[in-house]
Amino acid sequence: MAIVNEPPDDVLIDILSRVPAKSILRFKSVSKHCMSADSWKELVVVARNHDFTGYHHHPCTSLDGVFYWLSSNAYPYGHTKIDAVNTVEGWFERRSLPASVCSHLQTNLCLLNDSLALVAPLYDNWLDTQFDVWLMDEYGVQECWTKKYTIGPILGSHRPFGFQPNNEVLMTGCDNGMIVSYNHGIGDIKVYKQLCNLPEVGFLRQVFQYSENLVSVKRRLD
Amino acid sequence: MASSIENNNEKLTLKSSDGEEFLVEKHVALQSTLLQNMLDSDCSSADVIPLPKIDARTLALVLGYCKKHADASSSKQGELNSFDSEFLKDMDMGALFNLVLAANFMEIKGLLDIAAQKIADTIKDKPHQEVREIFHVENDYTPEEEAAVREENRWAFEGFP
Repeated sequence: MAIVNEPPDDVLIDILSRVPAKSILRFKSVSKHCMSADSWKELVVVARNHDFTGYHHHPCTSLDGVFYWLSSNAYPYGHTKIDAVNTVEGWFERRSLPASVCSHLQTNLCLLNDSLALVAPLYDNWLDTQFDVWLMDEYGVQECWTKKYTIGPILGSHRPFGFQPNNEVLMTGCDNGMIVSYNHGIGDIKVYKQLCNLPEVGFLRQVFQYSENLVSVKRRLD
Repeated sequence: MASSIENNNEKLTLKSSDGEEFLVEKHVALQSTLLQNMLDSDCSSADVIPLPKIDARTLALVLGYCKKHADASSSKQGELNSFDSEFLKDMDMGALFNLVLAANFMEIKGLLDIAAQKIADTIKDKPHQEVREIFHVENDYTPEEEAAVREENRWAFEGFP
């Protein structure tokens, strides 16, 4: 009934991730070492022919094992490109934005319904902003971005940083520490004033869906 | 040479760790991402492809799975699901684990999923002592430490030794 070979960590993690929490907690008493199997791997990706000097990198968004972020090399947000690292196949690529998307402070990459979405201001008008939402169909093809819809116009200066599960767009508001959500379907704007005690530094960049996980991360920190 | 994949009737030869050779149709082999990548990168299909980590018994099972799933484009998903559960039924832990290792090595995601799930389903209701035996894990807890872990998650141990 016993397994003959030593299981590799990633296979073991795969199996254990399918076991209910109650069993996992019980299995903690199997072994100190085995059940703290931290599976963090160092990934070395060689980015050939790409110059990173002078690039400003924005926070990343991950989808299906690929991490995407915007990077720009002209102050403040010019010449923006989309960088991608595939953690499964181990490659790096840098692609251009769709031709009609301008690089701007308000341009951002987010996740929308398990697709990568690019939200970009339609024209530069600080009083009355509209945003185009582009969805990526398949990475790697230049023409793979499809314009989905346009948000707005919304009064004031906003910066979209993510989507809620119900397709509402979350944006920073005009005041510091204010989050605005915009529902495209009904054109409804909700204002979450002081939703949380936002730190005063910088912009809000990303929103993450938080889900609990039992895999510990402590080994790399030792 | 580069795009010989179009020809579906082509066959290639896989060699198990214990030296047995298997003649496989190319479209069946393509269920494995590993083999697909090898073929894409100009590996000659005339060569024998050695799979040093997989014994003949396991490889035969893996190829049975691949064949069913490669030919399944016309058949129903429900039929495939019942094939999958029948395929793993009555399989002992050793065979299951060899399957997981083989599917992991050959990058056959569907097979890895169902086999790992089957192992997970099998161990989830077992006491930890048995799990320790299944995975060949030595107990590195002192009795005090083990008692502390048990105390910490006491509810999880209800009904278990």
